[in-house]
Amino acid sequence: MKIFNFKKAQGVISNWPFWIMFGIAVAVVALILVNIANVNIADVSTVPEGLEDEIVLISRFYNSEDCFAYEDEMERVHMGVIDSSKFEENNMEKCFPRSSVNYAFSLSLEITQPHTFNKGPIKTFNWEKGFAEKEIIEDVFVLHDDTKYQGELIIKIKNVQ
Amino acid sequence: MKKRGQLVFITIIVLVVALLVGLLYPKIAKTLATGDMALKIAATRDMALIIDAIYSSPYDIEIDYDYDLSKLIVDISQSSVKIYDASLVSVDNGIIQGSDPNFAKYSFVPVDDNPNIILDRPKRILFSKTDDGLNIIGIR
Repeated sequence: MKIFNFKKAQGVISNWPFWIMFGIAVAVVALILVNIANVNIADVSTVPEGLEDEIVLISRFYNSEDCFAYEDEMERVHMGVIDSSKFEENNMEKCFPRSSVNYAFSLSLEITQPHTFNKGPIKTFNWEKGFAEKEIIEDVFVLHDDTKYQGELIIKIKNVQ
Repeated sequence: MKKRGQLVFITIIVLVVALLVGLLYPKIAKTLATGDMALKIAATRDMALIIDAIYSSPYDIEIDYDYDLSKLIVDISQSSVKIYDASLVSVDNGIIQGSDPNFAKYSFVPVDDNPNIILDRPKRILFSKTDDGLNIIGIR
């Protein structure tokens, strides 16, 4: 066992500083590997930018009869047609109830022709004061006083994660 | 001063430990990055987004999520999807027993509803929405 017959090396491994450095090195390598693994997990499971808030969540506001979409006497739901009488803050509790969701929304309804009509903003439970991160304008029809007008649904979005 | 025999013994132990650590780290990293942990996180997000999308549709809708989750337990309640490792928790009379410290969770927003569903090791999950509301069935 000549390989272990180095007195300096023997001296090094019998000292506390060696073990302290050894422990630190092991911990650093462990941290690096765990971080690399976490980055990989994040890559695998990241929801693409804009998918959840801009596509999945906001469509309920103008497509679901439990939100603001117009439902006729035959119980047909008209997607993309907003019933102005339903566009109220108290409907928001049913449409977007409390949860730990990462996004908050503020909605305003506008008709520009033939006359100007504005309603809102109405906000989700988790909306806090301050500037919105994104603003999306959806072209919709608005049913107001039994007449259908072309209008805009202005949706402000905040990430509240 | 330690004797040479002791030092040789310590050196051998250090080498064995270093070898074990070296062999173990990539395995741990691989398990974390590609194994059940990644599947748990990805599946919770998939399902939460599917549920959100279903709630956004005014029409009847059916989605077949045919990803094998037979090693996992899915709990859809309190506006979130939680996934547990089936080797750490079990389902007894509709109640989850045990705990999984690394469970995955993602929130969704129901519309006028409060789903409360536990799926025990499903191989496929069928999401459907009719006039009666959201229905989620796990097929083993």
